[in-house]
Amino acid sequence: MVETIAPAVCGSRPRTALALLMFAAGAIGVAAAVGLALGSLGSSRLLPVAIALAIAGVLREAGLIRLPLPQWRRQVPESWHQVLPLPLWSLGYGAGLGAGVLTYQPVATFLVVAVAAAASGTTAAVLALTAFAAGRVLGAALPPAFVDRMAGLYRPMRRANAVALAMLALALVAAPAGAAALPLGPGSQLDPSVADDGGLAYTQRADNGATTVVVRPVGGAPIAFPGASEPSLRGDYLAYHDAGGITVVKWRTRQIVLRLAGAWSKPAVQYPFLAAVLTTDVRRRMISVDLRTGRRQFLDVLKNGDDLGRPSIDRHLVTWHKTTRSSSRILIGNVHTGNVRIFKLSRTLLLTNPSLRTGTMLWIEQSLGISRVRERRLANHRRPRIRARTGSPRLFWTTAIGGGWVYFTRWNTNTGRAFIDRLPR
Amino acid sequence: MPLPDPADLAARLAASGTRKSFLARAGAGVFALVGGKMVAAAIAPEEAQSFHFCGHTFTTGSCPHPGRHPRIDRHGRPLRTSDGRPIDNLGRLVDRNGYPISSKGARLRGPDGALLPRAPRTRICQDWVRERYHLEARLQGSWFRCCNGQIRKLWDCCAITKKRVNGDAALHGYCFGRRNVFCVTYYDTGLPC
Repeated sequence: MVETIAPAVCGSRPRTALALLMFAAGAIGVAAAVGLALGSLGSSRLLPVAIALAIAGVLREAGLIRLPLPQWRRQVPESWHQVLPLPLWSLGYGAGLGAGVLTYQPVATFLVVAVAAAASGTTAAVLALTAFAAGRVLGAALPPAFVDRMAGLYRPMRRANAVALAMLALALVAAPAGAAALPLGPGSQLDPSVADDGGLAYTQRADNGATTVVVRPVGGAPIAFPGASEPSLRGDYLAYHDAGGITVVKWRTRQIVLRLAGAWSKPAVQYPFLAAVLTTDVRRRMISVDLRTGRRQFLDVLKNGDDLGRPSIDRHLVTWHKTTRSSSRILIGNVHTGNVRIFKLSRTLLLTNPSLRTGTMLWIEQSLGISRVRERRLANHRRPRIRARTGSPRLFWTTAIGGGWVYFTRWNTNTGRAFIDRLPR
Repeated sequence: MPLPDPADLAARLAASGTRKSFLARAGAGVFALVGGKMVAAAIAPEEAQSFHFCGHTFTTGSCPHPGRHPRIDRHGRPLRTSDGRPIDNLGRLVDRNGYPISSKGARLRGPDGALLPRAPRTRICQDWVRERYHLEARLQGSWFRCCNGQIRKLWDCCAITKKRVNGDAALHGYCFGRRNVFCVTYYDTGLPC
């Protein structure tokens, strides 16, 4: 193929330059597209696979094991440059080599790097595969004598390749723990809530829209509450929303503690308090309820159409978001006094779904096409830390903190699918 | 084949595009005569560096905006650059009540299946510049140009500042009092020109 992009085949130096340009465009364009696809389909769950492949690649390149590679053992179609116009065949040759697997693969490096890149995210995947394609273009652009000399160094190059793959394996092992999606089964999982001991509750949503609250205690079998959604788990108590309103139960025995019938939704429980949203014809109200006495404390009100978000409760403090057409804010209220203060306000960003636990606030901040999980101590006024970041079409939704972890729902706006990510706190 | 009348050719060239595209084509033609096709291909018509958007050809940058260019409605809230439909601060199309919708007009839903609530849709100059740059800004002086067959109002977002959004010295422009132009926006009036 390299010999094809030469004045003898192309006809003149300008035509050779044009062929090289089209070849580079085809190779780099297709490699970037493959990187984009791998990056968007892959996830950090692929990290162990990438490490295993890198180790296997090291052993293969060092000549210690024999390992077949997925490849199409053929060269670019020679007939193309006889029947097609020069810009088209050179573009086609570039595209074929840029895809990586449509031709002969003498070494395992491409496969290993492709999987490692997919595990590292879209940007890394695009950069890594584009760099590969640029290397292939160099093979066509450099003087043939130099390329021949390099081809003569096959054995030392394979050893260097083994060393490079070993370094990649080490880098992957040492990579900081990224957000990992929890394997919680089919359908969508959203709205995580965490008990202090690490037990997790969430909404399982089937493709037909049916919802179930699932409680996964530490070291125990999952317990399902069909027809329920929006769980809040703390200690022995679980609150959830269902067709009749809000139910608070002792989740181990399913014993009902309280039922709030009517247009109640979005519960948050920490015994003896429950915070929830009550919707009437024209208003939405955030109200806390003392489960022992039934006393209600008004916290906030908003007209229908604007958003009063899912609350989170920690001791005597409740936090929730409030979004109108003119601003978005995260509020903190006191269940005893009803006093409410603004934790954060923005007129340009969308601030949603806060969670509060032991003085640490976690929330979602969304701007144009970018969604971030932010974290800040209540007592600390420094710039909030970014715990995770994603771009359209994937956005973050609800959050939870507890049991040494932070949890957040990640959803795809194109497919509507959601799953729960987890990061060490 | 008879040569076309030079006056007729010039009129046709001038009528086939804007002044900028005419000059670009004329320039390419001259180079084609003196330097051959390769040179002509290398200087294909493109936007000059000082061109910002139609009606604005100098250097003060756009105000922060969820779209590509700082198109606003008469209240200063963001509109989609391409078609002037209202968008919220996240760049999503919204209906007249501010709810996010698809391009076909259907209300969008969240991962829980419920309709998505409204997000803020705030004024580009007064709210965005204030929050991002900590400046008390307001829309002041304006001027008008003809763009895409309608009158475009180019509107200066003015603040008491010596620096503009580009990071260099702000110009006084059409601002009043002690205010200088911090960034620019525009409003397509819909009036033919």
